[in-house]
Amino acid sequence: MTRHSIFTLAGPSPGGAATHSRGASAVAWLLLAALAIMPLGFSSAFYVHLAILICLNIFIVSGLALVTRTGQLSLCHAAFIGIGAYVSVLSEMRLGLPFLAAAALGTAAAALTAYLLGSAILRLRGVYFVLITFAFGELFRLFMLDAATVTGGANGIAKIPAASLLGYALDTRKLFYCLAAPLALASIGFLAAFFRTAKGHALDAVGENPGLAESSGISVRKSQLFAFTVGSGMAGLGGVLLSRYVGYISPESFSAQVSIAAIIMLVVGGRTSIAGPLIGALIMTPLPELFRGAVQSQNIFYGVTLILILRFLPKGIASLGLMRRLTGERP
Amino acid sequence: MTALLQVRDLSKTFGGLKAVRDLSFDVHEGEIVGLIGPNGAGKSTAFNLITCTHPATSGSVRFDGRELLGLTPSQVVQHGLARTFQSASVYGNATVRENVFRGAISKLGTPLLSQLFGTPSSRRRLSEIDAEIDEILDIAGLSEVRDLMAGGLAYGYQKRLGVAIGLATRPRLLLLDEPAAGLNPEECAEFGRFLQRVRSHYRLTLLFVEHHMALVMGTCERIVVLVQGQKIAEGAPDEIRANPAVIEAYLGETEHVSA
Amino acid sequence: MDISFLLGQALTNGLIVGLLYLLMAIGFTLVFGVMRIANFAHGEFYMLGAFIAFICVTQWGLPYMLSVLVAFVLTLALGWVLELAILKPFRGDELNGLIATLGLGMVIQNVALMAFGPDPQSMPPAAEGVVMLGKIVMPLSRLYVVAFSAVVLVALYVFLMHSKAGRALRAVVQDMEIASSYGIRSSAAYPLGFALGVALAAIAGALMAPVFSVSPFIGGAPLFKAFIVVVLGGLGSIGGAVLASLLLGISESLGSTFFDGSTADMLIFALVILVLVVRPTGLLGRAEH
Repeated sequence: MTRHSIFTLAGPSPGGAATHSRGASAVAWLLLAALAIMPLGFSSAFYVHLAILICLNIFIVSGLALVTRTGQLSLCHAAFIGIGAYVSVLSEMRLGLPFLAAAALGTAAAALTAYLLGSAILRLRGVYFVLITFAFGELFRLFMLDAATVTGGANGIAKIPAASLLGYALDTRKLFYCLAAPLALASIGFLAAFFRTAKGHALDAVGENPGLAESSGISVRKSQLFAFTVGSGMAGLGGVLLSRYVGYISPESFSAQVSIAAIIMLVVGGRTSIAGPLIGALIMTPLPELFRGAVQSQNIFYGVTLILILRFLPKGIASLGLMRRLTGERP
Repeated sequence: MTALLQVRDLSKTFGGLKAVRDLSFDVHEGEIVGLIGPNGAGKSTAFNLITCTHPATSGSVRFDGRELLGLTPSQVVQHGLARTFQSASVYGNATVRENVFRGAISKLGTPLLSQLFGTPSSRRRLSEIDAEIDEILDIAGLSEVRDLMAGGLAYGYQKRLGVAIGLATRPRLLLLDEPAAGLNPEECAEFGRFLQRVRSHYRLTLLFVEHHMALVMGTCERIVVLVQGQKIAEGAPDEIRANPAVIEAYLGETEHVSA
Repeated sequence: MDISFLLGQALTNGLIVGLLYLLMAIGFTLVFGVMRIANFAHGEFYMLGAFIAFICVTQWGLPYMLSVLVAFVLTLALGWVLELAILKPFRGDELNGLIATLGLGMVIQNVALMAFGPDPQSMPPAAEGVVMLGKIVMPLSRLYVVAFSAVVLVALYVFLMHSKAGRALRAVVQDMEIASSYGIRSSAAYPLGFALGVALAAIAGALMAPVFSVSPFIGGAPLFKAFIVVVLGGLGSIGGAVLASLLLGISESLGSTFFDGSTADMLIFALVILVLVVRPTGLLGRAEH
């Protein structure tokens, strides 16, 4: 899918030309492109590291955004990151699969698990759904801890080989960034294109007024299942990449804390905007550096910020006037 | 000719309370039928049962020969039956045009990949839908406000938008839930004319639940009267107006039957 | 080891654990019933209760029973203040309220971490020795837990059924509009419901503090269990919570006796999903329109 098609989709846009104007302004895309190229010129390994983490977070939180748009909240997003990570790592290191095949397997495993779980629990009232996803996330972590012979238990799995494409190992930071950044941009582009399609509009309808959507022929259950499956699959792919970059995974890497961190990024950035995951990841990822290891103060800051944003800017930073003009989104 | 909608022995029991009792009536193609009754008569419940918004305890609802009970509301729409809502009847955070578009989505028929890549066939289909939407907006008198946010519209406009969304699903039978609630007599009369315009332009059948006697008597060709979950009368407006059982049921109601 | 003994022991342990889950679940259900918010910070109030009891006993030398009471009162006050100061804008807002409690939980846990450090600390048991019921062993300290939980639950029942404030609370949980049309000051119901709900969690924490160790991380597991109980029993149903907590306590006990580690947890999770597939509103939950 090329970026060209996103611009051309701005033509006869469903719902009328006035709804999304010309999509994100050309300025926004240029800014984004410039931002994306910048880290390749960094001399400090640390900043490239930060850029990679931001890209991975954008990708993962975009998956969460897809789920949230249909009105459901997933508190086990980290579990799907973990499924993608563990399945791809184990199939590469224990079964000898090449990276791309292992990556595909990991992503598919995450999506399939989400599909099965969603099929069983999406018909439940919103609150029940959230509670069950939380329980599932906890269970996943406990299971990974227990199945030590396969997963290495609490010790995790170390010395994970770098990602390799077409025989070339992406074993330096800048090389890996060349994989992470396009994927992050692709996730933003995909969401932008998707929510301009009729199916995207259907998902928005479900998130906004599920009773009306259902009675207009849009199956709420199918829409939510689609979003949950695809969004969690994206988390899985994020997990595949994360495991290759960090080189080490353990059950603690995929705890409820991580799911909550993703939610914070999404809420702070903006749940209903394409730029939400981008803004959220950009702002929240470098913060631990500001706090320089004072983890508790940092987490208190996260909690307080979350509550403040919910109270005073519930649609996130992306809903601020300046941001809206950049993304071309309607007030 | 068999009726388009055949309701037979429809019943709903809520923990001991029989809200709807063995309701049976027909709606023929092209008719405008009204379902009325005093407060607590079970009209809204019956309405929700027919549209499969709530599950029925027993009975049958046949639309064009096919059984509807047990289907999900979205499946019911696929069969050609659409409904409007009394409250939360529109998507407040979307424009008027987008609201109507959302009604048309289920009839689009374009696979997702074609939509994503903007293939010629998907664009053609979108243009067709765009034209249909323009027509609906026109008939509903919403063309001027097409780009305004639905949440900010005046109440009367919102009610018409609710109907427009229903029309976009291309139904054969449109069910309206108290469409005139909150409208003043003028707006009410205008709404009645709107419904008749819609009926003849789209060759629809209409069934609505309503309290507003003026609208019912002025627009409906046949009326079904419910009291305490049971049908006590059925017939043309004049018959109903003169029916002693109906008059008695409404004694004490502030609305007078002779509107 | 004969099976009947194992079963008996497991059942007894299960009942004890079940009572604690019930305390957590009822508190959680109360908050949800009044504010329609799933309180994700509920576990942290359990933790606070444990720490208050810990400090009272080890630092101030108060008797244990009094410490539990202090934990209740302090958490009640804290809950009242927090509801008014932070959660008020989210009353009735299911989704955003839930997310707000996520943030609240994070803040509480990390404040505790800063104050007490991450290491588990232990306090002396409530009582020494054991009681024998036939062949079954019940530590006296656990018996205290059972007794105290029972007393609290009875007191709660009396409060909800026979006191003016309690009846008002129940009316609010049933239907906010009806309650306000009867002139019941529903605005006070919110902080009361929340404060009472989290204070119940604090009691559970204070009761368990001598049994296990005390650390800022102990809130997670009881929260998880409260969710299972509430989902299984049906949100808003007290009777369902009773049934579900006993069921959960007993299945867990049986499970850990005969299976190892997370296998028991997974079986229970699978069971819960099964129940929900068959009865989407839980065992005794109400269907909502």
